[in-house]
Amino acid sequence: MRKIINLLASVKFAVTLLVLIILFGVSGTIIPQGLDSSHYSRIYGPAGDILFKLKLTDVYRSPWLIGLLSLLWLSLLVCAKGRLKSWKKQTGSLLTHLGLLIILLGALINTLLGESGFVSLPKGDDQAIFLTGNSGYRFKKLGFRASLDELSISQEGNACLSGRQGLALNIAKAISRPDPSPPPLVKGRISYPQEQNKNLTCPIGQKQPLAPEGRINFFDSTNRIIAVKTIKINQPFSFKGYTFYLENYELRYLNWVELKVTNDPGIPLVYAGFIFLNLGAIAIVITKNKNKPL
Amino acid sequence: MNLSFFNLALAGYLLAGIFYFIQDVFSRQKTGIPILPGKKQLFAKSAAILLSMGFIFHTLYIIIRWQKSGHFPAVGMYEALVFSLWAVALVYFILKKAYQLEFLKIPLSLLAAIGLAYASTLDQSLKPLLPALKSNWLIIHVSSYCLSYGALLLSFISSAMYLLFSPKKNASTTDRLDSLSYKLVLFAFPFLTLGLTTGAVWAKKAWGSYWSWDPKETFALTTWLVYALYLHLRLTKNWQGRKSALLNLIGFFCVLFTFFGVNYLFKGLHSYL
Repeated sequence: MRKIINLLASVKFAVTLLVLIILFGVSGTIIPQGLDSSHYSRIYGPAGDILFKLKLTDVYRSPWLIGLLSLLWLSLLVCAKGRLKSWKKQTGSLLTHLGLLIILLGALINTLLGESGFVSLPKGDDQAIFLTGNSGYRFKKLGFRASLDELSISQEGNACLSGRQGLALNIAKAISRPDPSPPPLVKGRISYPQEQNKNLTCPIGQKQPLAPEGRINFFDSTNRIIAVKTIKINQPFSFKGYTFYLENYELRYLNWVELKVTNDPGIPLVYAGFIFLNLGAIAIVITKNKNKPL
Repeated sequence: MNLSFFNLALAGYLLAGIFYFIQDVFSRQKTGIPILPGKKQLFAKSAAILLSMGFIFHTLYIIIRWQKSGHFPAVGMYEALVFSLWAVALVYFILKKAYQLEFLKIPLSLLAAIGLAYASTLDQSLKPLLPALKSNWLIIHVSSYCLSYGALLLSFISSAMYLLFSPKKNASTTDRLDSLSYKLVLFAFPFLTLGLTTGAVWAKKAWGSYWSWDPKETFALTTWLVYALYLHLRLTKNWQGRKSALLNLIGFFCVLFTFFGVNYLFKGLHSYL
């Protein structure tokens, strides 16, 4: 036991962990993540199969990274405990380590208990909402239904209906389609017809980006409206513990939206950890500057 | 009018760099041409004035652009670069006295001039702000990152100078460079932390998840971890001098890669920068 604690407390061990975490993290930006095994065989040949089996193609949820982060958590815990004795001298360092412990705990809770999903809402039809757990693939049907009541697009300047112009990639992608049915979904993302990629310019002062605004009705099992909510880009709303974000919308007919639905119970912990971490970083600078003047 | 402020800033930095360089060459002259002591002073003084003028014009340019575009002027590669260079100069002026940054004046002036010259080749058109970026988090996230990158650039220059000079110069100069590079990382670290965490909070608000392992996020975290490592090794393992300077270079390489590389090599959530 003593030996294990000494190992966890050693800087060498922590540094090794950090370097490994960095390497795994970066590998995920090089190897495309979350595709089918056949894609990897095509890109990397026989090595692709090995990458897939080693979970390097889903590295951010792999046992490797989760294991390393767990070890880092224990190492931080031992380290923070060591600093408790002289906390007056090492306030900053104690706070940063506590902050990281709390953040990682929040992240673990989000992984274990968090849920997320997308719901596609054509105008008028109420839809059931299905979520999947953040760690696995179990489906859960929520006890209420939702529908798009109305979608409007306002512009702060004059008209500039220029398709995707002015909309951040991956955040809300407006799409003009000839038919009112939802667009094809490819791996959770909308695929665009080629001509949609042409950006028309929107000179400043004359034309402004589009600001879509949707009204969403919620129904209970007896088809009674139990809530009406307004949604905009960057302005999610919460309902029954779930947060709803505007993910996609139909631009021309204004008859369809896609919402992202999340429930991250670890968020308060993550944010509390952020506060500790920032206060700690400031405290370190103040004390270090006092102790060792240049 | 606006463009000429940009040019005046560039000219101010460039001339300051040249004047500082001439003064430096003069002051190093041990034998040979005798130099009037007054002349050296004259060069140093005019260089300092030129650098301040460059900074003032740079500031004016940013204020005017802010007014014209109606949003915080650090969106898109051009604005982000111009704003970051401004932050480097700001950090220099804030810390000049306390940290004795005098000997960074030549690389600082020349880098600011070269940086602005490069920025002028980028797309400078004023673009409307994307709805997803309309948030108060924009100002705090971007300005803390720019301040921290500014200090990290100065720290990088100190470490690079340390590595260049350490075999030749006397110990007091190199010790100062070594200590300065550490002090600057220490100054930058809270801003780096603030930038990273406010980015996560903003991402949660705009995209629904505070961490998506998008390339920009991954490399920003990597940068943060490298500097955390730097501080740990420096404070607990007494790393100093060469080893510490080399790690600092790696850290700044991560900064550059996060700032520029990710945008050119990956398509991710941060594509608008």
